[in-house]
Amino acid sequence: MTTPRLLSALLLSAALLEAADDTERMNRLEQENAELRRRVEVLEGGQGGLEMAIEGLLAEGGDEGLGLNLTTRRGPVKAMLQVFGDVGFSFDDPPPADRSHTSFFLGGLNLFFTAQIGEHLSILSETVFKTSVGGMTDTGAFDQERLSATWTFSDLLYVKLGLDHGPVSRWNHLYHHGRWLETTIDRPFLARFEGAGGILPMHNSGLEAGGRVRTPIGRVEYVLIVSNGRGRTATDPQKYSDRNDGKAVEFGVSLAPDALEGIEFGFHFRVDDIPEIPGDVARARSIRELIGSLFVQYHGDRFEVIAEFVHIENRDRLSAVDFGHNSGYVQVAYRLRPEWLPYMRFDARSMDVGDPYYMPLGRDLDRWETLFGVRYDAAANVAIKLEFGFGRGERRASGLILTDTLFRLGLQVSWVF
Amino acid sequence: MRWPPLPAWFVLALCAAGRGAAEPAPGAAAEEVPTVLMVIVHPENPVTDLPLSELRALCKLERQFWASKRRCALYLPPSKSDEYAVLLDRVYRMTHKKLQKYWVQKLFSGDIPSKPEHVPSAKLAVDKVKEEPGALSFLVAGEVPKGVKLVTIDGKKPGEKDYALLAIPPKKGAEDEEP
Repeated sequence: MTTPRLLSALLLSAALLEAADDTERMNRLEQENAELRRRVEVLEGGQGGLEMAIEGLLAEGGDEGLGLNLTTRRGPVKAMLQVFGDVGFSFDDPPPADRSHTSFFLGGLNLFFTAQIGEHLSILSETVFKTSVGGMTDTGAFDQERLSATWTFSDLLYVKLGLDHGPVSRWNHLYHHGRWLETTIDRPFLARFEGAGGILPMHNSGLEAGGRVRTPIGRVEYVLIVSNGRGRTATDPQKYSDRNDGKAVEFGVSLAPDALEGIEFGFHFRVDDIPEIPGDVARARSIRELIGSLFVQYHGDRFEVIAEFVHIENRDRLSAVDFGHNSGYVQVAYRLRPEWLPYMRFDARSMDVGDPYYMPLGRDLDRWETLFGVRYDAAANVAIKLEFGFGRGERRASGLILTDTLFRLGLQVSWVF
Repeated sequence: MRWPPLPAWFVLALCAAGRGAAEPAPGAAAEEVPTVLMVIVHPENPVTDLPLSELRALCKLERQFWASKRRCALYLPPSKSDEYAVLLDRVYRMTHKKLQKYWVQKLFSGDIPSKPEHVPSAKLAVDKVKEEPGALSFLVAGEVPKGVKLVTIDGKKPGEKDYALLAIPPKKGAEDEEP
């Protein structure tokens, strides 16, 4: 091998080695570059998260919701907890059985939980710690008032399975156990719960389908429910099981016309078969129950009006006698200032005496009441209500039906957070 | 019939009050610059225009789904912002307190599974709309950010005559006064 050839070979080898070094260096630089890019992205992401956290913290002082605004979101789950509560004082004349005229009362503590899981599934739960007044001592216990799972296909159709408050009373559908939401201290006669002297089924354990549609005249909402129906007595809502195969079926329709913003009205119809009571000769056969109800409500800037009327037709299959019952109320409120809301309500029920379903509990007796009160919103989520009512009510004494003049005074503090 | 003089004085007083209200104080007009909002959605959302009544139904969650069966995820501006004040005035037509009670009522009735979220900044509103195909949010009218789509209201864009989403935000502290 000659010297020039040797030199050329050496130079070529050196050049090849250098090129290999350059390639290696380039690869290393590209790797470093990619790593740096990754780190920048991580830092930018972190900065975004930090920015979100700081802005979120700043927003917390922004009064975005009522109370603590206990909302959390993790992936597809968005959950919210709200707590309602109320306490108060009442004066009743005549006093309730085995009680004094005046009582401080514990209304209830309501734990309301709702969760949206994805776009179509939602869960709702309402658990109330409430007192049961009666007997030698009062008792308190947690009670599951609502527990349901809803699959919403679209605005036109949802399907709900579980325990819910029935919409046969509009009041029941609007306010549930949230006393803070109610304008008044207590519910009207037709919307009282089964365990508190009520005459309507306030709970439904079953399957519900419904939806809403926008029409040229306004928003129409509709609902169809199949449920366990009522139990053997008017105090048994059959939340957990059914004592007969005859299910309650109900449907309702409401309209919120575009031309009259704030107004909504509708009707509801329900049919049920109330089971017989084994061993009770007066209830040896079932009772067929038909219920029809109407409501109208208006929520304007200052005026609030809600009125309901219900007719109950109970056919005792043992005696083949029909018992017709009517109840209704009109409640009007006018907001004088943002915090002050005076209100009045006329409330009445007219019952056919002797209905074997209502008579053992004295719920087949007439009653009316006129109520005046004022609600003061001490804070965005705290209401203080003071009201007095007077009226007339029937009661049984030694086989006779007597009529008393009724007077009551109430004070309530209710809240949500 | 001789009418008592009171109605005449009453009418005159009303006219005077009306004239007074029609003439703003000198210098006031310069301060009262209306805030104009634009509505943004995800680019995949086929909606390009919404009547104001439909927007109102979406914002009040009376309508919760788009025609594509996708749930509308509503992101509201911060409650102390001018954008939110315009929404209260032009869309919700109620005070912030009333709207909060409205949400509690809706939630409690089971009518809605969750309340709409307030996003603390315009940047985050844009991010949410970019991320979620069903999202709907609001920005002060201006250049439409990349990755989101502008929706016209009643066929009108922000800045056009009779565009619905503009209002003069109330003075701070007056948001919850009754109308």
